[in-house]
Amino acid sequence: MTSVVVRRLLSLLPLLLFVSIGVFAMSLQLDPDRAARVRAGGADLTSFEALDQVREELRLDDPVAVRYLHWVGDVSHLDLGQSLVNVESRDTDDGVELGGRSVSALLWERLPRTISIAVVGLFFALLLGVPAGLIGGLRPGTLYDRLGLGAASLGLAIPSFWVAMLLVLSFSINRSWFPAVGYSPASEGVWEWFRHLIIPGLALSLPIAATLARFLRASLVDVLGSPYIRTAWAKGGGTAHVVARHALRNAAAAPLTVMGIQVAQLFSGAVVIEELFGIEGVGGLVVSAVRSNDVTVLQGVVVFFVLVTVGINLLVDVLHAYLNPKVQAL
Amino acid sequence: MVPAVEASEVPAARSGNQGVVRRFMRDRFAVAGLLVLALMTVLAVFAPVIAQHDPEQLFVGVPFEEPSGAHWFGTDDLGRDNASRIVYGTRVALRVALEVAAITLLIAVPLGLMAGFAGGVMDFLLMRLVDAVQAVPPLIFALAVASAFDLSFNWALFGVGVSLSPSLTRIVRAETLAVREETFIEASVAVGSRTSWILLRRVLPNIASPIIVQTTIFMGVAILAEAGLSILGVGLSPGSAAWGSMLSDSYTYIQSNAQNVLYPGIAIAVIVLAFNLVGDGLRDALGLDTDQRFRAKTRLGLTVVAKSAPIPATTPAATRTNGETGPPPAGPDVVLEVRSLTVDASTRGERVTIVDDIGFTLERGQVLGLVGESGSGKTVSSLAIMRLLPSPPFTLRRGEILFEGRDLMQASMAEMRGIRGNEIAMVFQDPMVSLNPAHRVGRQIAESVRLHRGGSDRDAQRRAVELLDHVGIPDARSRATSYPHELSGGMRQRAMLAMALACSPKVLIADEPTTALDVTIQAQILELLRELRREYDLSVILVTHDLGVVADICDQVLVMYAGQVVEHAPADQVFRHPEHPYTEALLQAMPRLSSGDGDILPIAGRVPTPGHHPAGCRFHPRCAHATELCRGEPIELRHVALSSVRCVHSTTAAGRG
Repeated sequence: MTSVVVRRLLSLLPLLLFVSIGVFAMSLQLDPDRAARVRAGGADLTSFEALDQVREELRLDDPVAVRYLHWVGDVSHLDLGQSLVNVESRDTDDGVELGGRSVSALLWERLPRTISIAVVGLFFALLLGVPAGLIGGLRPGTLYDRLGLGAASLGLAIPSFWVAMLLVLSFSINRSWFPAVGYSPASEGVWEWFRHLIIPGLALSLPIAATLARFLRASLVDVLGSPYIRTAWAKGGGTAHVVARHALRNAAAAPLTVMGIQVAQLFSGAVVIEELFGIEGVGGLVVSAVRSNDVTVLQGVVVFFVLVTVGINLLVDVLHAYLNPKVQAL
Repeated sequence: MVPAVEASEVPAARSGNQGVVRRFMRDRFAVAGLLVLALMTVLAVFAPVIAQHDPEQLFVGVPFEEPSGAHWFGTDDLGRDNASRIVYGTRVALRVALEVAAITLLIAVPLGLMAGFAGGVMDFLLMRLVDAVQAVPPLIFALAVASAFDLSFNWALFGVGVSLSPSLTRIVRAETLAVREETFIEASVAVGSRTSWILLRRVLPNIASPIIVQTTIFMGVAILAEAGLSILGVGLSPGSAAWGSMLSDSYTYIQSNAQNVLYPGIAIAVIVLAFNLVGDGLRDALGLDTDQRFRAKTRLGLTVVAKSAPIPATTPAATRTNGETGPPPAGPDVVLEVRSLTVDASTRGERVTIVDDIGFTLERGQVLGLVGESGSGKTVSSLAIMRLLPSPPFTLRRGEILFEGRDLMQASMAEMRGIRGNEIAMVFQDPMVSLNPAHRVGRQIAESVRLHRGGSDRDAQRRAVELLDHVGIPDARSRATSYPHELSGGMRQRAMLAMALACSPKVLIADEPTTALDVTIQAQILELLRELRREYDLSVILVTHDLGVVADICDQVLVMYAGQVVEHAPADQVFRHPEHPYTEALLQAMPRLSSGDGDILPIAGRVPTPGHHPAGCRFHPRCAHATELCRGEPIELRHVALSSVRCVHSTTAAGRG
């Protein structure tokens, strides 16, 4: 198992190299003048000293290669730089000074909300996708299977944000069962937390549930036709025994890989859903950073998402090695 | 195990264009999708003619007007005509779909070709670049690109296109690699630009199908992405007639005016669904979907018996009229008796007979060789005895399978469970795929023990180790904890045998147990089979195409051809005096080490597929002795002394022997 992890980590190095170059390249269009203006509290004219200070802070006068290395060094210490737009006053020895807020702090602040949406979305995706895939895979060609496949086609085609709007209309406006906006931290009650996330989570989950159901069905149909399943029947196993002991574990591998890839999709969807529900998560941070061209925040967010995606895919690989012992041997 | 009928009904992958069009047009959903896309295109092209109003013009009506003759879908918050805006929205949607598809293709095809052609470091680096793009959530990627270029709509679409390109790049690369390997083996002399040109011309037709399918699906994804971007405020200029921004605008007023949210949402869902249906339809029509044959309902656990199955008279085996052939049974020692077993398979409503009226009697400790080329029906017969054939396509049409006097044709699933692996056990051809790759070997053997004998897990494990030791696996205790892929082929087949013997069955059905093994290992496994038979007093049905295997071990031999018994006789007689020309041909096709005149004569031609049997003797097209007699009426099985043979020339054939 450890060898799987080590091998995967090594193969990640070139990926991280490319991502870091790409993300660093975003900072090549930094505008020191604008950054300085923001620091000065929005004044149109800023002093040359302030401008110079910002240029120095952002190392704009260094060669690009040097800037890149510094940036990578900072990121590896989890220092994602300061926001160019989001300003706070800090008490220093020389009195009050304006400075950009730390990107990592901004991310850290927003993280629980985005993670919550993603977790609830994943929960609903499993809740809907796994039974649909199982029924279809075990009884292909039946009415249930057709219904499941039809629902999956719709789930992939209907925009999740539109579903969210319709759910809000039915369950927030027409009947006030669930809130249409906002977020309630889990620390203030788990039910309230969940109640706020039901509609966003459900809407977000549909395309992922649809993908999961399709892959699980196909994989299960495939595995059930394999020779070792025939062996299990030939040993005298009943349906429940054959499916639970012999089919499911082997059939889980393909959908699992797909779910690893879907995580990126999950976060994409979460950005739009957050915007609709006024949940100030990482998605909201991206949107405001895009609108105000806050490059350092954008860079930080991309780095964050890449690390999450890569981490989850690593987890998927480990699970894969557990499900299929052959992977470990390769 | 898959019989020839099933293989032949799967449409040949990537056959001619005409077939593709015909298959596509048979798919109702795909055709509906295509019609929707055609309609959308018409709307987009003729929008100025079709729309009643200018989509951008304010206050053509009162804000939030109800649907009416003048405004079919009512008006929006600024009094613009909803219907006209929906019609003009097709222009944006189709533009987005085409632009993103073009960007994706322009990136993925050259990158994939480059990675596949160059190989080595170049390939490695390019693929890591692709990984890197895939690690960023698509929408975030598009937003980051848009933000770098003043929130330009076109750059946002570029970002969407780039973020979709990884999966397509992988497809192109895989196909390129496959073709390249082939070509290098075939023409290693060709060098330089000529090779690349040849490769390109071979690669492009191969990748066309998956690219078309993938691109169609991506068009739908692109429209969804654009709508999402509009909601985030990175769409076309706000207020423009695009479905995404209509949705975003109307959501603001959802409390007072809900219906305006419906129109753009439905429009997006319909067009995306249309793209997906067309994509799925193309995938099926182009033969890229491998699990097509599983569309039908299938029961795997128990072969269905036809309701109308006439049951042969259960008179004592003295009368030999029930399809029972070969040496007459010798009394109370009969373990398994099969009479008139007939198996049908139905494919696309057409029913063909795969196994036609076979029968035999197996006594305690006897070995029956079930011999024939692939496609002769021997494996189907052996699986039918265990009722392990999936239904549909298979049905047991008639016959009896008497195991110790009980007819397995009438058994329920629960009764069969008690017999399978317990009274009758089975060993399959390829132990690599017949053992579950995810479970340790010992556990798989212990499972058999626990299913039928119960008891504790530990006892079952101990028994598993004993059994492994018994079948000659050295260091059985540690091998029991191995996974199947960690064992050699011979060891795996020994483990399969241990599993089959776990509950000391009375009958062992071995389906080509040595075919997948090396010659030396084959001999060892046969030797083991012989020992086990003696030791357990096992009755064995040995299914094989290799008469050499039969000679060593069998008491009686049943030769099958095209689903029928052609000869059934004691083993020594079959070898000394083959009655049927087919048996004779099989003997001549057998490699012999010690024979003087030992030319191996392969049998020309192939076994006819079920449903396409020639009139008269089914073997006559391949038979050297065929006369007019063989081409007319079906040939009956004739019983002579200890043997049965289905040949009008049988006495002459015997005379020659």
